[in-house]
Amino acid sequence: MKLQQMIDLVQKHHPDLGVNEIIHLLNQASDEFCSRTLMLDEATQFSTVANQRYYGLKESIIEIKSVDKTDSDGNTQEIARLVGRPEYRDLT
Amino acid sequence: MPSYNTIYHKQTKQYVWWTERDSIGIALMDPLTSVKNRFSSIDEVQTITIFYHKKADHFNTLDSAQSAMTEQSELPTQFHQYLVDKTIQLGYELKPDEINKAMYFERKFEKGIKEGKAFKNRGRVTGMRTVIQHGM
Repeated sequence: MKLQQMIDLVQKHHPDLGVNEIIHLLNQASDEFCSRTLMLDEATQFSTVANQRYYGLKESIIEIKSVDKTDSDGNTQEIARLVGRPEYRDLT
Repeated sequence: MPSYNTIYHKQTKQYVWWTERDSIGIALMDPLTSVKNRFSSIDEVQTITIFYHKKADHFNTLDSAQSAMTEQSELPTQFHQYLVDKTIQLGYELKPDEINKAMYFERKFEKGIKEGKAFKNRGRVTGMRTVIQHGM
Protein backbone atom coordinates (compact mmCIF):
# COMPACT_ATOMS: atom_id res chain seq x y z
CA MET A 1 0.00 0.00 0.00
CA LYS A 2 1.44 3.36 -1.00
CA LEU A 3 1.78 6.24 1.45
CA GLN A 4 -0.92 8.26 -0.32
CA GLN A 5 -3.42 5.39 0.08
CA MET A 6 -2.60 5.10 3.79
CA ILE A 7 -3.11 8.82 4.29
CA ASP A 8 -6.44 8.70 2.42
CA LEU A 9 -7.67 5.86 4.66
CA VAL A 10 -6.69 7.72 7.83
CA GLN A 11 -8.29 10.95 6.61
CA LYS A 12 -11.63 9.16 6.16
CA HIS A 13 -11.69 8.98 9.97
CA HIS A 14 -9.65 12.09 10.72
CA PRO A 15 -10.18 14.71 7.99
CA ASP A 16 -8.82 17.35 10.37
CA LEU A 17 -5.36 15.75 10.64
CA GLY A 18 -2.64 17.21 8.43
CA VAL A 19 -0.55 15.05 6.10
CA ASN A 20 2.67 15.53 8.07
CA GLU A 21 0.89 14.70 11.31
CA ILE A 22 -0.45 11.47 9.78
CA ILE A 23 3.02 10.56 8.48
CA HIS A 24 4.45 11.04 11.99
CA LEU A 25 1.73 8.78 13.42
CA LEU A 26 2.32 6.16 10.69
CA ASN A 27 6.03 6.16 11.58
CA GLN A 28 5.15 5.76 15.25
CA ALA A 29 2.88 2.81 14.36
CA SER A 30 5.60 1.27 12.21
CA ASP A 31 8.19 1.56 15.03
CA GLU A 32 5.86 -0.16 17.48
CA PHE A 33 4.98 -2.91 14.98
CA CYS A 34 8.65 -3.62 14.23
CA SER A 35 9.74 -3.50 17.88
CA ARG A 36 7.05 -5.92 19.00
CA THR A 37 7.19 -8.41 16.14
CA LEU A 38 10.94 -8.19 15.37
CA MET A 39 9.88 -8.85 11.80
CA LEU A 40 12.66 -7.11 9.91
CA ASP A 41 16.21 -8.48 9.92
CA GLU A 42 19.29 -6.91 8.42
CA ALA A 43 23.06 -7.21 8.50
CA THR A 44 25.65 -4.47 8.23
CA GLN A 45 29.43 -4.52 7.89
CA PHE A 46 32.20 -2.18 8.90
CA SER A 47 35.96 -2.32 9.28
CA THR A 48 37.62 -1.91 12.64
CA VAL A 49 40.06 0.91 13.28
CA ALA A 50 43.26 0.01 15.14
CA ASN A 51 42.82 0.50 18.89
CA GLN A 52 39.27 1.81 18.61
CA ARG A 53 36.93 0.00 20.96
CA TYR A 54 33.49 1.52 20.30
CA TYR A 55 31.55 1.85 17.06
CA GLY A 56 28.24 3.73 16.83
CA LEU A 57 25.04 1.82 16.17
CA LYS A 58 22.35 2.94 13.74
CA GLU A 59 19.20 4.31 15.35
CA SER A 60 17.07 1.75 13.49
CA ILE A 61 18.67 -1.24 15.25
CA ILE A 62 16.27 -2.80 17.78
CA GLU A 63 18.24 -5.86 18.90
CA ILE A 64 21.59 -7.30 17.89
CA LYS A 65 21.31 -11.03 17.22
CA SER A 66 24.94 -11.92 16.58
CA VAL A 67 28.30 -10.49 15.58
CA ASP A 68 30.91 -12.03 13.28
CA LYS A 69 34.54 -11.07 12.80
CA THR A 70 36.42 -11.73 9.56
CA ASP A 71 40.20 -11.46 9.54
CA SER A 72 42.42 -10.47 6.61
CA ASP A 73 42.68 -14.14 5.51
CA GLY A 74 38.91 -14.37 5.18
CA ASN A 75 38.39 -16.55 8.25
CA THR A 76 35.08 -15.73 9.90
CA GLN A 77 34.17 -16.48 13.49
CA GLU A 78 31.23 -15.55 15.64
CA ILE A 79 32.13 -13.29 18.54
CA ALA A 80 30.75 -14.14 21.97
CA ARG A 81 28.55 -11.64 23.75
CA LEU A 82 29.96 -10.28 26.99
CA VAL A 83 27.45 -10.11 29.80
CA GLY A 84 27.74 -6.65 31.31
CA ARG A 85 30.74 -4.52 30.39
CA PRO A 86 34.45 -4.35 31.21
CA GLU A 87 35.12 -3.09 34.73
CA TYR A 88 37.72 -0.65 33.50
CA ARG A 89 36.24 1.79 31.00
CA ASP A 90 38.00 2.71 27.81
CA LEU A 91 36.24 5.46 25.90
CA THR A 92 38.18 5.08 22.62
CA MET B 1 50.78 -34.53 27.51
CA PRO B 2 48.25 -31.87 26.41
CA SER B 3 49.41 -28.62 24.91
CA TYR B 4 48.43 -26.01 27.49
CA ASN B 5 49.34 -23.26 25.09
CA THR B 6 46.62 -24.41 22.70
CA ILE B 7 44.14 -24.77 25.50
CA TYR B 8 44.98 -21.28 26.71
CA HIS B 9 44.31 -19.71 23.32
CA LYS B 10 41.22 -21.70 22.41
CA GLN B 11 39.48 -21.81 25.74
CA THR B 12 40.19 -18.52 27.42
CA LYS B 13 41.35 -15.71 25.16
CA GLN B 14 38.47 -14.63 22.95
CA TYR B 15 36.88 -11.69 21.21
CA VAL B 16 33.76 -10.35 22.87
CA TRP B 17 31.15 -7.69 22.15
CA TRP B 18 28.77 -5.71 24.29
CA THR B 19 26.64 -2.60 23.93
CA GLU B 20 27.07 0.65 25.77
CA ARG B 21 25.99 4.26 25.10
CA ASP B 22 24.32 3.38 21.75
CA SER B 23 27.57 1.83 20.54
CA ILE B 24 28.96 -1.65 20.19
CA GLY B 25 32.18 -2.39 22.04
CA ILE B 26 34.52 -5.04 20.62
CA ALA B 27 37.63 -6.25 22.42
CA LEU B 28 39.90 -9.21 22.97
CA MET B 29 39.31 -10.60 26.45
CA ASP B 30 42.00 -12.46 28.33
CA PRO B 31 40.63 -13.60 31.69
CA LEU B 32 44.06 -14.73 32.87
CA THR B 33 45.47 -11.20 32.99
CA SER B 34 44.77 -8.53 35.62
CA VAL B 35 41.31 -6.93 35.69
CA LYS B 36 42.79 -3.66 34.45
CA ASN B 37 44.36 -5.24 31.36
CA ARG B 38 41.76 -7.90 30.73
CA PHE B 39 40.31 -6.22 27.64
CA SER B 40 42.34 -4.91 24.74
CA SER B 41 41.01 -3.21 21.61
CA ILE B 42 41.55 -4.85 18.23
CA ASP B 43 44.87 -3.56 16.89
CA GLU B 44 44.38 -4.36 13.20
CA VAL B 45 41.74 -3.82 10.53
CA GLN B 46 39.12 -6.57 10.60
CA THR B 47 35.65 -6.79 9.13
CA ILE B 48 32.79 -6.90 11.61
CA THR B 49 29.34 -8.07 10.54
CA ILE B 50 26.39 -7.30 12.79
CA PHE B 51 23.12 -9.20 12.37
CA TYR B 52 20.15 -7.46 13.94
CA HIS B 53 16.43 -6.81 14.08
CA LYS B 54 15.58 -3.36 12.78
CA LYS B 55 12.83 -0.83 12.54
CA ALA B 56 11.41 -0.09 9.10
CA ASP B 57 12.67 3.08 7.45
CA HIS B 58 10.45 6.05 8.24
CA PHE B 59 8.23 7.69 5.65
CA ASN B 60 9.54 11.12 4.71
CA THR B 61 7.42 14.07 5.72
CA LEU B 62 6.42 16.72 3.19
CA ASP B 63 9.15 19.08 4.35
CA SER B 64 11.82 16.51 3.44
CA ALA B 65 13.47 16.65 0.02
CA GLN B 66 12.90 12.92 -0.45
CA SER B 67 9.17 13.05 0.26
CA ALA B 68 7.04 11.02 -2.14
CA MET B 69 3.50 9.81 -1.82
CA THR B 70 4.50 6.63 -3.68
CA GLU B 71 6.71 5.44 -0.80
CA GLN B 72 5.88 2.04 0.69
CA SER B 73 6.64 0.53 4.07
CA GLU B 74 9.38 -2.10 4.20
CA LEU B 75 6.98 -4.38 6.05
CA PRO B 76 5.25 -7.10 3.99
CA THR B 77 2.14 -5.65 2.31
CA GLN B 78 -0.33 -7.77 4.29
CA PHE B 79 0.62 -5.75 7.41
CA HIS B 80 0.25 -2.27 5.94
CA GLN B 81 -3.43 -2.03 6.92
CA TYR B 82 -2.46 -2.55 10.58
CA LEU B 83 -0.26 0.56 10.43
CA VAL B 84 -3.31 2.47 9.19
CA ASP B 85 -5.42 0.99 12.02
CA LYS B 86 -2.86 2.08 14.62
CA THR B 87 -2.72 5.57 13.13
CA ILE B 88 -6.52 5.84 13.25
CA GLN B 89 -6.38 4.69 16.88
CA LEU B 90 -3.79 7.33 17.74
CA GLY B 91 -5.93 9.93 15.97
CA TYR B 92 -8.97 9.04 18.08
CA GLU B 93 -6.84 9.19 21.24
CA LEU B 94 -6.26 12.87 20.46
CA LYS B 95 -10.02 13.49 20.75
CA PRO B 96 -11.36 12.90 24.29
CA ASP B 97 -15.00 12.62 23.12
CA GLU B 98 -14.18 9.82 20.63
CA ILE B 99 -11.67 7.88 22.68
CA ASN B 100 -13.93 4.80 22.81
CA LYS B 101 -13.47 4.38 19.04
CA ALA B 102 -9.72 4.09 19.64
CA MET B 103 -10.21 0.77 21.42
CA TYR B 104 -11.74 -0.85 18.32
CA PHE B 105 -8.72 0.07 16.20
CA GLU B 106 -6.33 -0.88 18.98
CA ARG B 107 -7.82 -4.41 18.92
CA LYS B 108 -7.27 -4.55 15.16
CA PHE B 109 -3.65 -3.50 15.59
CA GLU B 110 -3.11 -6.08 18.34
CA LYS B 111 -4.44 -8.74 15.94
CA GLY B 112 -1.83 -7.53 13.46
CA ILE B 113 0.93 -7.87 16.07
CA LYS B 114 -0.18 -11.45 16.73
CA GLU B 115 -0.19 -12.27 13.02
CA GLY B 116 3.14 -10.53 12.58
CA LYS B 117 4.79 -12.61 15.31
CA ALA B 118 3.37 -15.81 13.77
CA PHE B 119 4.63 -14.75 10.33
CA LYS B 120 8.06 -14.05 11.78
CA ASN B 121 8.21 -17.38 13.65
CA ARG B 122 7.25 -19.35 10.55
CA GLY B 123 10.18 -17.77 8.74
CA ARG B 124 8.31 -17.95 5.42
CA VAL B 125 8.69 -21.74 5.50
CA THR B 126 5.89 -24.27 5.57
CA GLY B 127 5.87 -27.89 6.75
CA MET B 128 8.68 -29.47 8.76
CA ARG B 129 11.47 -27.26 9.91
CA THR B 130 15.00 -28.13 10.93
CA VAL B 131 15.96 -27.21 14.46
CA ILE B 132 19.63 -26.29 14.75
CA GLN B 133 21.14 -27.06 18.11
CA HIS B 134 23.58 -24.45 19.38
CA GLY B 135 26.38 -24.72 21.88
CA MET B 136 27.35 -28.33 21.06
